[in-house]
Amino acid sequence: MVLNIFRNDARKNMSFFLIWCAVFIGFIFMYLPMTNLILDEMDELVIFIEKMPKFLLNVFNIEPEVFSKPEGIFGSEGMSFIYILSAVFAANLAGAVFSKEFEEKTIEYLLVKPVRRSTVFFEKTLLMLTLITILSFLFTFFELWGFQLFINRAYSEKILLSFGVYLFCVLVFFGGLSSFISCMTKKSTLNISISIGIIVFMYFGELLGRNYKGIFWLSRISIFYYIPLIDTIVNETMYLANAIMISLIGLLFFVAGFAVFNKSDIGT
Amino acid sequence: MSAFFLSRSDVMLQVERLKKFYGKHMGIERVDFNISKGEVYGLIGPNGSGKTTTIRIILGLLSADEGKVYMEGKELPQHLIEMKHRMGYLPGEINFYPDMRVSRFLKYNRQFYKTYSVAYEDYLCRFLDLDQKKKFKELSLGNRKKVGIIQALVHQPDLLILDEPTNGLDPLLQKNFYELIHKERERGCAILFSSHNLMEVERLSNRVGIIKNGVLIKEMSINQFSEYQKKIITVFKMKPNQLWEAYKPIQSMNSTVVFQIKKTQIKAFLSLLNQQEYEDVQIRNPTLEETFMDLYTKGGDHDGSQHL
Repeated sequence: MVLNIFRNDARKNMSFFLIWCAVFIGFIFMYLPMTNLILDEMDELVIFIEKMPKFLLNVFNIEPEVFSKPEGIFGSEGMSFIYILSAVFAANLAGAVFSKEFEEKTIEYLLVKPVRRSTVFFEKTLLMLTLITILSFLFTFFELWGFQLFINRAYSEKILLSFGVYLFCVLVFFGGLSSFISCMTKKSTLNISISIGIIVFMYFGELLGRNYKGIFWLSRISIFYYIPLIDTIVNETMYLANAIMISLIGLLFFVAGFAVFNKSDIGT
Repeated sequence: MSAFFLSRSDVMLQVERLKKFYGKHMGIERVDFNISKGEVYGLIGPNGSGKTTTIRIILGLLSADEGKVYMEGKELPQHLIEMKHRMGYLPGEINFYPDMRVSRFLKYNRQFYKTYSVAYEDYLCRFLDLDQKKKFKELSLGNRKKVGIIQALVHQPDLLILDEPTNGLDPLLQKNFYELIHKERERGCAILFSSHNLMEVERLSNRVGIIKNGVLIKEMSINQFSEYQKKIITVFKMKPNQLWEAYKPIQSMNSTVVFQIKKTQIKAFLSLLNQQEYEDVQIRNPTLEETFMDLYTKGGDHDGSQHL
């Protein structure tokens, strides 16, 4: 039957996915009500920010111009959390879809059935991409709705849409990377640890690289360099081409994962 | 090799010179055998001898370094998907989805096959008395095995591969399982099974292959295997004598001495025995275990042939 593995995995991972949706939506609804309060006391805050060391401001994505906009407050600090959460989600999802199958040895059952390895991998990847798309869509929808509900000042919907697109490309990138690591290591704990290590390295590497010329390369190898939140907010520009490119790199990781999966000996 | 005498169309599974290394560690070095339709072939050997590796290569779970596998003349893995519709596999260790209910699992399993009889599935569940409401993780080892048996047989395969099939089965379930295997064999299904339970091998097989350190050292019919050219002769109340020097006993305790004698040497042995003092003598066929150990320890090459 069509998409048998997809449907089975979707059923298996539904509660996991719903919990993560609740985490993302809950984060939006807990973070946004603070925005009005921060903006009401913006004058004092700007004075305080201007007195802070520049390096510290850069490290924490704090700019007076950014902080004077509601989408800036959400985008600079809130999105940092969202990025880290998204990598954790993607690593866990890849673990649940790929590594767990190896750990519980159910992969043996699956591959003994009359189904190609490419079909198994394709259906699992399709499930991951579907869940990633739904999560990105829900995030964007609730972000826009949350702004409508809680924010009583002018804001740019384009910037909010950019956050949704960035979330999608980060999820695809880390989803692909984690799938590749899952197929290599066949262990979910190892996969999650490595994936989280990479996002921490990329996120803080980008911040450090931006502030120290000597290690600028750290910025260049991070995906976050190419989807800069501050520039998006200040210039009201969506870095769509970069987001597409990052998503494509994520898809390449899926392809690399398939190459490993296709050649793997099962039950050695 | 007995398959030599069969026409090519009778051969269901053909395994040629399989070789597999796990890095530097040898999995199997040379395994060749054929199984014809309606034949039950027992692959025997202790743990780590290469039985499971051979099975996994046939199923496409492992890739062979050398050698070929054909099913009905079609080379695997090129035709593996087509042929998997006609294969059933019962793993030694049953690992299905722990949180899935048995009923849901069977529904999932049925979606993989082109031809599938739900009526036969119901029959098997009733025959094996399987509780379908429980989750897989809640099942006992025996019940897990029942699920394994059903998913292996339910699509009525032409080639059935069983890895240590009766491990964890109680005697009643074993009886039912043997009955099912018998029916499959009558239907014309070729069956390959691995075991170190020689009673089971004797009960199920037409032919056996003995695997040692990754090499299939001997193949024989089950009758040849059971009556393997030797007799066990137990002599009671006999003191050490000339006979001991000519025929080394395999066991000696309280003047009861056990010899393992080739059929061709029995006459000479008995005539020498009659010149000695003893109270009683008992001659019997060796058990399968004794035959296997004899073959295994001597590598099966003491009669000069690799395959009977």
